[in-house]
Amino acid sequence: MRRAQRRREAVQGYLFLAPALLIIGAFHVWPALYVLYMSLFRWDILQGAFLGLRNYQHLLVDPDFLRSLVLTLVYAVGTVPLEMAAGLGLALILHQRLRLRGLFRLLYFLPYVTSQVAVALVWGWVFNPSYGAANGLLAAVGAPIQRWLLEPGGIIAPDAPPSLALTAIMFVTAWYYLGFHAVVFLSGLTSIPTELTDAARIDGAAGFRLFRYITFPLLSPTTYFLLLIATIGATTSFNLIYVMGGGGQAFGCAGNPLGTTQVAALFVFDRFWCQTELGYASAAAFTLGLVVLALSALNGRFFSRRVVYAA
Amino acid sequence: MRRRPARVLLYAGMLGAGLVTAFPFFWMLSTSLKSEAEATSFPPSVFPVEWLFTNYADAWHAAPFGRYFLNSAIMAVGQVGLGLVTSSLAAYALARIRVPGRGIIFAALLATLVIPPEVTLIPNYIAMQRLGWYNTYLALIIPFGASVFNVFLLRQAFLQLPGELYEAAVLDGCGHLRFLLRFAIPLSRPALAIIALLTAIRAWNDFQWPLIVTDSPDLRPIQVGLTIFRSDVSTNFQLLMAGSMMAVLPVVVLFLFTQRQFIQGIARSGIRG
Repeated sequence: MRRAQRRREAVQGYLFLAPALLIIGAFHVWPALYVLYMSLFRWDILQGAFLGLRNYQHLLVDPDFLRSLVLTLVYAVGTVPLEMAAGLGLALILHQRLRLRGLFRLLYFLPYVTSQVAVALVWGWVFNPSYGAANGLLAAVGAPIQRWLLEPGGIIAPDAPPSLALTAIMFVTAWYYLGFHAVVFLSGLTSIPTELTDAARIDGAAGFRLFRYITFPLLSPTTYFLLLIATIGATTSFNLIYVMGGGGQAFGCAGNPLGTTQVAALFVFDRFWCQTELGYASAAAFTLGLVVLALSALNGRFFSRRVVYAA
Repeated sequence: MRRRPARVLLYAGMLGAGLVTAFPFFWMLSTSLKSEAEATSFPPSVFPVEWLFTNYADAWHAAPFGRYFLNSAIMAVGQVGLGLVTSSLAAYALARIRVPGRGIIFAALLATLVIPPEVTLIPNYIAMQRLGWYNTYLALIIPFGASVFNVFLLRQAFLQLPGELYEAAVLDGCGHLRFLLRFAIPLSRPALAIIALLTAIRAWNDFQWPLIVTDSPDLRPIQVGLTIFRSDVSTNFQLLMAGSMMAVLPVVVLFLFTQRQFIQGIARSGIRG
């Protein structure tokens, strides 16, 4: 009797789980496996000959793909620390009892709810080489005007990444995610027990020392969590780069100018959508997935020892 | 109590960051009201000389924006509706029903979070073709009809319901489904509201997926429509900015009315689009 009841409950539980598991399984898990299968074939519009690992062999010597990986790294290194540091700074400011802080918190968060397409179009207009506000500002202070999103020349050395175009996109990326980091950091700050900071103050810690030895260590779970998702987000970033990467003029399939904004996600999209080399694009996508996985694991290994959890 | 100069610096930092954040929004609004001649003059004017609200009507008529909005709304409502049903059921099962293998299912769901969308994009595109869903609302709704984040968020809410409540309900002959509908869902309204909000805004702002699974204006949502509008109006920047304003406005208004729940939801779940 009891057993039958248990069984009935289990069946009911599985029925409850079925719709969600079916959708997640079919459109999230299965494709991650199927992409590996596709990557083993020549696959243009239709499935073609079995190639084994040849797509991967080509990838490893494809200068465009290798460059896209370098650019992805540059993009991640150029955006993640910046948006996190600035976000933490803003969170520390918002944590003080300042007037209008609620209003500013709202304002900082606004970019994050706006669509990346609209944001990219507006920034593309700001960076317009002929009529843009960015050049207006440069002209006002007497500096030479720039081509911004159309400029393939590097900002450090003419041929080295990041190009001015990619730098501008990195700036917009940091602008977009800044408020998100500030809000999550702020919620981390408010969850630090005040007894701990009060005790440290009584012991004479204040200002930077208080932050360095008490606040920052206690914030480390939040920092670690943000670092992880920001790294993954930057590694797979697409919309902003795609819409702005065409110099704000046309579709940025190739990641113009001269491919200096073609990060890995754009490379995958270019081979898949613009060149219809689905097998080859799948190999690139799967490789990108492995990179993301490795980054998550690396992040976990490196930081798990440094994370401090408050009791 | 605190020294004055430090306070001034804090305010300066807050204000400076606010200006940087607000500038593009201001610039979008300002440009959207300028004449074509004024928009394409250099150096640009800060405020429009003459406020041309007609730009909005012009932009609206220059592309099927009404249709784009409708498509985005259908997509958002569909994803929210389906998502609430699937995640409520699944979260309830994970929180309240003794299902064998519950721990494994939970861990497996957690593991799927490391799969980036780029990896699933191409096979899902093929799947839409094979299912005959290409260029239909099904393609825009069903694949996003369940989210691991939503299941986790709701599970947390269901776990916080008092256990005595369920025991009392069972004594009255109440089964799981009835308990879910009569008690668990009404008592978890804040969590459900967060999920609905996040899903709706995400759907409204989605771009890459609708771009590849639709190829007719009848199905295209607003974000895809906007990029096509850009190629259509090319140098009419005031129209492009008016179009962008229209695409942004519904979400901004929704956000302003619900910001408290919204920001709490983000802080708690850490969803990064």
